[in-house]
Amino acid sequence: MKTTIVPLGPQHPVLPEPLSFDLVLDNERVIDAVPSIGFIHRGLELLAPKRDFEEYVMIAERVCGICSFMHGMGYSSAVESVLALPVPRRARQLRVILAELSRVHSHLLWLGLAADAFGFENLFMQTWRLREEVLDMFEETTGGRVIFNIVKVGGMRKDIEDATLSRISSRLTAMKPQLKEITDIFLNDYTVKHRLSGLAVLPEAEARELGVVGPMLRASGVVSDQRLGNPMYEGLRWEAAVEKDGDCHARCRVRVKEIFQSIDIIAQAAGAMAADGIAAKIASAPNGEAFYRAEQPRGEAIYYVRGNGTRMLERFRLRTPTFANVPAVVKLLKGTELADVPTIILTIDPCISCMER
Amino acid sequence: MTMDIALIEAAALPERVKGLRAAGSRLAVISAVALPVAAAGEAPAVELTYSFDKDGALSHLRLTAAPGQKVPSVSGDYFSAFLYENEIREQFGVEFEGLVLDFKGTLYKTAVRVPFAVAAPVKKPVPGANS
Amino acid sequence: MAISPLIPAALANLFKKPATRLYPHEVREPFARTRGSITMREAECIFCGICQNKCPSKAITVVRAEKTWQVDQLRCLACMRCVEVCPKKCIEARSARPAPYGSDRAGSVEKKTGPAAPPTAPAK
Repeated sequence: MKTTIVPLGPQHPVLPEPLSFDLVLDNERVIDAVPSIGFIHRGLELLAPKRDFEEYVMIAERVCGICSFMHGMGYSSAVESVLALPVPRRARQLRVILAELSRVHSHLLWLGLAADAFGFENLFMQTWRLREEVLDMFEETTGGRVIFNIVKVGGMRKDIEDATLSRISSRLTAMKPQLKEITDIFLNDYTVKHRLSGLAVLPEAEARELGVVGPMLRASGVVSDQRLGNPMYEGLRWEAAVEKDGDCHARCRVRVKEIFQSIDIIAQAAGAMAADGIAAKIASAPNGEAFYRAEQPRGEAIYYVRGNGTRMLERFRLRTPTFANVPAVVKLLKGTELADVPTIILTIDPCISCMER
Repeated sequence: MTMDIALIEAAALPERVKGLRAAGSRLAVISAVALPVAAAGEAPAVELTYSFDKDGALSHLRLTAAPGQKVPSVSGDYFSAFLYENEIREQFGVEFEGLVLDFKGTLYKTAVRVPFAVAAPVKKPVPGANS
Repeated sequence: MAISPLIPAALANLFKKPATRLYPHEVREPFARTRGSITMREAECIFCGICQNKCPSKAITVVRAEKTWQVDQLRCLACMRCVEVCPKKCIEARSARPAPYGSDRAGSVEKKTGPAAPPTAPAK
């Protein structure tokens, strides 16, 4: 059997960030895939012992552009856990609103990229046109489109008025018909279903063993969402989006459901804002260790913080969801056709700059 | 925050992991911390924490690898561990035995080898102790 | 075979205004909160140097003896920490981004000198 080796990446029109797979092909079928990572490794975890722990939030935010807010929030929450610092309710609600808005933005971005991956560029552009409105909302409230600089250890740096929050919530609700028009195409269109259904099926048992997280896990029938049981989300009514099929189309359906759910959560939170301040004062330096798990748009992100009583942390470890999902891609690529490879890589929603801080 | 950490020896790791896998736990993360060294330039002991998730609850296994000690790999039981262990090997210099997919040090290709081990903190002298 | 619902939408788009803006001929008004850049009112500055210490990218340089303050706009992240910590509140946040610079970075360093500069200071 004669095999060809085709390198996919690190630069590829379909990949948002550099990731390389050496595909061993027999004609058009992939027999094996060898991953290569490390193209965007900046060693940001090494900076943790060298920066004041309050300033490090800025570096945590800059690990990734799409997941920026939640990285800052996860880091701050982990440090607040070590300090046993109670964060005011309003700050937690503001974090929830911005986190869910980040989720809407990230899923819209993914929908556009997924459409681009199987060649549907018109749909890609229409989806990103909606994403621009979400970016405008970010700029109006926090001052930045991608990096917000609004979260800090202890709460938030700036307040967002209730009037602004309800205006944003009504704009999102007004966006729903357009969103429905676009997502209906993803869910029901003949071509899209033909490309995505039955592709890269991940059965439930294998999903658990491979350690995948986020929409990959939920599309295989496992109810696992770090927002369940998180005290920040108490008082908000929502359900984890779960599908049974485990193929690419099921993951698409999970993410579409999550967009509409996030808009609902924002409406609920914006209508019930507390007024007890936006930040708690920090009286000491972190001494001890803590794990914090956040539900990023891509899955479960684990933040591990260890302090030794000085202003600089001893260790900060960030395990991003893409890091947990990449081994699954290595397994899923075997036996598929070359034309489907970009779609499968995109189905995990790869965020390589997160993966290789 | 109370954490469920069990301190074990490296030799006991494969058995504990097989038990966790049979119980349906998911490997969440393998973290490593370089413990302080006595003098700059020495190879540090590395504390490894294996975190498992079962139905939303995290439990941890912790072991300390002395400099030069080989730790058995769990990638035979949990395939995703190969990525964590390769990264720890490149950043801290801990050798794992039995890796399913071994990058042999070419994962990140940093300019400084084992950067986290090189940057291990130096133990500060205890105030008040006379040498 | 079903006709994709996007086809009527695509045909309608042929007759609609484009969704994009002809930048730089048409510039959108920045929002009030947009973090664009910083500037400083030199009449109120006491040259204490706190802004220099707090700047995460070391964009601000303060020379107390010569009463000069300068910011390298290309290093500035517009994070607004200096605005928060200034004791005299004389650093101002602007919502407009500075205009692009050429490859020689000409004009990217904005320098201010205090009112009572000592006679030996170089002329501005």
